[in-house]
Amino acid sequence: MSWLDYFLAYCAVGIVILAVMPPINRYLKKQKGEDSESSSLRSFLESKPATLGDKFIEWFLAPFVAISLVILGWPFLIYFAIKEHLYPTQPYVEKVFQVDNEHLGKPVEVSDVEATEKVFDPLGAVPDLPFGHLNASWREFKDQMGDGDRLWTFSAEWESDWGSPELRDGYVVVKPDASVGTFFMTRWIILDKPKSQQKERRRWDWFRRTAD
Amino acid sequence: MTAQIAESLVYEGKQVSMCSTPLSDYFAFGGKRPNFDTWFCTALWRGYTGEWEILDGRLYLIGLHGRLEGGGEITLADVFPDYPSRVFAHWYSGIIRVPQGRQIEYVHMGFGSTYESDLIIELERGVVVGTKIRHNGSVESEDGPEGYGVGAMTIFSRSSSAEEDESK
Repeated sequence: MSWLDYFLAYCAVGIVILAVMPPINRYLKKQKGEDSESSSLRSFLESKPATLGDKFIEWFLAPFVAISLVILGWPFLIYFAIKEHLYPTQPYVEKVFQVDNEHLGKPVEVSDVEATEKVFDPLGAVPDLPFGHLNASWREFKDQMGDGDRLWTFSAEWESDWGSPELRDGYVVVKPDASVGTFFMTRWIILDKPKSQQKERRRWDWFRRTAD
Repeated sequence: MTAQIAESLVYEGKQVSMCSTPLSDYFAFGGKRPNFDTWFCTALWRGYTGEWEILDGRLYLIGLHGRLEGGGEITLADVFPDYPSRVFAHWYSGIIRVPQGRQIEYVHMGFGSTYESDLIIELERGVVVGTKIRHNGSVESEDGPEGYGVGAMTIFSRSSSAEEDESK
């Protein structure tokens, strides 16, 4: 056998893989309960390229490159498929702040909190209400309290995904079964600036997401 | 990733740039947040710029600029309807960083650039509890930019989402 025969045999394996890949993919997705036809593929098939150049890229160049890559690089596909099967990629779950029992301070009465949390300003730039400009938010929080719920103070040192230590204080609802419910935050201090650019980047990514 | 436009602060009678965003804490604590248009400028992800003032040791929000998603300019009254000209920022605890002097290092991300010094104003529930100067180094060349600035940004057209300007 010449090197050309070997090459053609190699490509033939790639063509077989290319042919069996879509049904296998559909089968695996069905097993996982996912939509067998991904929305990106559907939108690609339904897309109507505007110009002749776009048509050339979407209907000819892109499929040609993709098919060539599968035929020539099928061993990598098999490697990544096995790797994904054995060690599936875990979806990223962002850490979300929550109050735990260890953060609890002391029980307080709603009436006492409302008396101490009134805000005064000599220029009158704040309403004469508990928590001032945040009074509506406080009332919303307070209205969620059920029978038997108690109000506690909390103070938590916490570290976000971007690695900046934070201090968060406020009030939290403690249920009759001692579980911790919703909280009302009154102080949020970033204790230290992120040390690395990577952490700073994560911080701004988070900022971007929460701004949307 | 783009360096962000600073907030504006009137401190001891002078207008300076402030690399802190106390209004974001207000929204984090449950304050009603209008639908800011956060897409028209890459250097303004938060969608607004605030004008602040420290008067008699207290932090006030005295102006708000930006635009809403459906169009229309933002004013202070959009966030604080009953306080359209001055709002006491009692919700804010932490520090305010005011960069001073020449730029030592430019970082095209957030408020990451370093300046010769930072005025750090510490606040507790909107009241100033301390100030200090943090020295970060010095710049030998006198050609470097002085004061906070954003190196580049992309601004999108108001009538469409097309890219309009790449300024430097």
